[in-house]
Amino acid sequence: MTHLSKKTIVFSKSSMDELDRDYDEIAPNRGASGWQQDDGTESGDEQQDWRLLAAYSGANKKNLPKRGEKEYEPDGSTTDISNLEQSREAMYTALSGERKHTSKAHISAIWYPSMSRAKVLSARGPHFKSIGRADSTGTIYLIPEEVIYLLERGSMSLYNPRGDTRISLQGCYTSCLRACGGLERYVVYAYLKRLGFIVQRANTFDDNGQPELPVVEKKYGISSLWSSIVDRFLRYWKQVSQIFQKKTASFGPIIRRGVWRSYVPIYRNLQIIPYESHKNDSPAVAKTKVPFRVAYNVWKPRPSFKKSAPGEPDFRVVVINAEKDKMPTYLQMQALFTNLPTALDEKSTENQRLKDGHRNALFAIVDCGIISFVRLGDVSFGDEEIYKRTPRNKRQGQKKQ
Amino acid sequence: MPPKNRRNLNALYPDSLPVKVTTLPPLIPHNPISLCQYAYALLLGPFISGFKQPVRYTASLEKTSDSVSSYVSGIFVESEQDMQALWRSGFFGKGSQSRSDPTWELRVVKRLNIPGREGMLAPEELTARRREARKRMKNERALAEAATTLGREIAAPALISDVAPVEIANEKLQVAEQVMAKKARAEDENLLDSNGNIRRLERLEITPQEAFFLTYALDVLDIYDDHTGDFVSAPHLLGLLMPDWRPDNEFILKYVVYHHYRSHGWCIRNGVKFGVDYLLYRRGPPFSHAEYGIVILPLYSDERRNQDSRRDWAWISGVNRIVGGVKKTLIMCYVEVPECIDTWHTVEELLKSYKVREISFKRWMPSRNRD
Repeated sequence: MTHLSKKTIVFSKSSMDELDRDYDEIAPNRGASGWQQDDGTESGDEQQDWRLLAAYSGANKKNLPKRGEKEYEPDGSTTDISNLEQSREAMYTALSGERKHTSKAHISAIWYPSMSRAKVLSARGPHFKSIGRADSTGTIYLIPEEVIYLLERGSMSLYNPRGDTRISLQGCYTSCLRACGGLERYVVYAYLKRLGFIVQRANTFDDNGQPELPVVEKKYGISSLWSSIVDRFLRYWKQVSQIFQKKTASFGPIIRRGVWRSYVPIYRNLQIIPYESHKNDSPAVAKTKVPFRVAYNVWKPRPSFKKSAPGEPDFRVVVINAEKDKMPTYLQMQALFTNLPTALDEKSTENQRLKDGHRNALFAIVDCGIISFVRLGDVSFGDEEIYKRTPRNKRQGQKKQ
Repeated sequence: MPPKNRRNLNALYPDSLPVKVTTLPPLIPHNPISLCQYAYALLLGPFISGFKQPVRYTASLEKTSDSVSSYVSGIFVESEQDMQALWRSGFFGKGSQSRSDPTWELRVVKRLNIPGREGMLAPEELTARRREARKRMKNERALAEAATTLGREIAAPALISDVAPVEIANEKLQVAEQVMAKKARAEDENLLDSNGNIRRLERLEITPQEAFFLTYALDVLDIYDDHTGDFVSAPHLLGLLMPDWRPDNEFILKYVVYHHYRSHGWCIRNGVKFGVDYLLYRRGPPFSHAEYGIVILPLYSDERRNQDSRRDWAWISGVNRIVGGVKKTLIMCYVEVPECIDTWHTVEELLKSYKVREISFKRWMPSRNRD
């Protein structure tokens, strides 16, 4: 037990370092945007809420929080030095305490290398809200990532199949890591887990699984029949009108001399470059290959999470080893997106459509242990009608107000 | 930006393209005069404007030749009127002596105190003013911070003067303006001709893509060869700009992207300052900052070729950090390149053989997306 708890200390320290590093990275960003919170989330408008400042004006001026400085500059005052000493002391006291587990919450499991799963003998504690999967008999099995993670935390004892020898952390790494799909996947898994996210393997974890697609109800009825007729007619009309347009405008300029009443038809005529539209996208199965497949489904921390009914994940994570793989080609990204359900509903704003994309995935790019997350989304600027808000229209709109 | 300022901008830059748009007069059903006006504009307007010469602009094309071939080295708009018009309606080009819009003449007039054109501020002057005010503000803040730090051990005396900071800033600005206005240099005399008018030294440089858009798509720009004085037609210009006629020629890829975003209402300008190919403004630089940075990547029909030309993560990450640092979103714009372009008959068919596909790229921070 002592051996394990020491390990735990080492690892929890490293996780703290990681947290620190993350805040360091955020700090200059905060400085640039003041009190703005949404820099990382990019949800909605990026307007600052200046009302937050009201609390700090007037008599409270001295309490103005100082943020956005990356380097700590000691001002040399005694208050400063003693503050620093105190917090340093507190940190070391916290770290030097021995970790104990009550027997009630301690987990033990048996690792079966042939199955690449660990059978849980006693499923106790809060971890099992989001970890493990039960088979038909009610026995809970852990995937390799979960095994390493629990062992690293010191929350579990792992035994060999005969049940007589305890497997060390090193031994666990040796036997489980390959089944995780490589160190980079485990690093991403553990990083997100430590931050509190709920992480589960996606169906597309390896090359065999099929993507989970939402069931789309096909509507058959008079309305759909009618709309298909209208659709077909419109398409036909477009073709006919294109033939006529070609005859008149193919050799000359696109915008001919004449009287234009508004910019809208001018822009419509200018739109000749074909583009990929996402208006009528629906998910379908496209062929993808590891690593350009969704490895993990990730949910934000929530108390109401149920393993049996997790719901749509908040994020889908693709894990990439930067040393092995360069950026995916467009076709690889497109295939990945095709397998995903739409991230937007009917009420989506233009900002969401152009920044988050209709479908998006997180790419965790792991380079020698350093993880960089980026979000790629399929967007279509051609689907947005920016040109309808021409200056003239806007000016008239303002006059009305 | 306060709404008042924005309305001024709307009045200053009413047009998003240099194409004349004549709106119909307002129709008020119970007012017979307005009915007449409306009918007149609707029915006779086209005839009357048909007699009028449509607005056209002129540019000159400069070529440089080395031992192998000659290539286009720049396209310039020389007339003051054309320069202003092209900037005001759609923000085309860049003034050769200015940061972006051609304001050199305005600034010289101000500096030399030539009467008749006071009261207008060039953007460079606005920036100078803003910088002055910001410097002032930073000084004040440093003083205040020093005061609070010292205040922990010794009660600091009032370091901040009683005069309101705004007043000091204004005073300083006025002084700076006077200095700027009075300081005429000896060589300034060369700027004036014998009648005391300013010589015109500024011209507007437009990119090849802008030039082709204005000649081919909108047909409002006439380009003449600077050397021979010959008229350069749109197909001729295309030949000059893509002499190798390769499907993935840099000019045509950039033009396809330029045309795509222009035609959907964006104001698209060069993005080299931010490490990208293009920047997208919702309406134009005076209205708001650019919202998107565009990186152009070719997409070949041969997937092996795409595999071979894949880029490093470090490259896109670097570009994204620059673009993200100035609060813009990075868009990777893939242009599908046709296998060959020999069979095209018209420029329109050529452009239609390309296709634009976009993917957004944004940094994601776990700790800020948790709640």
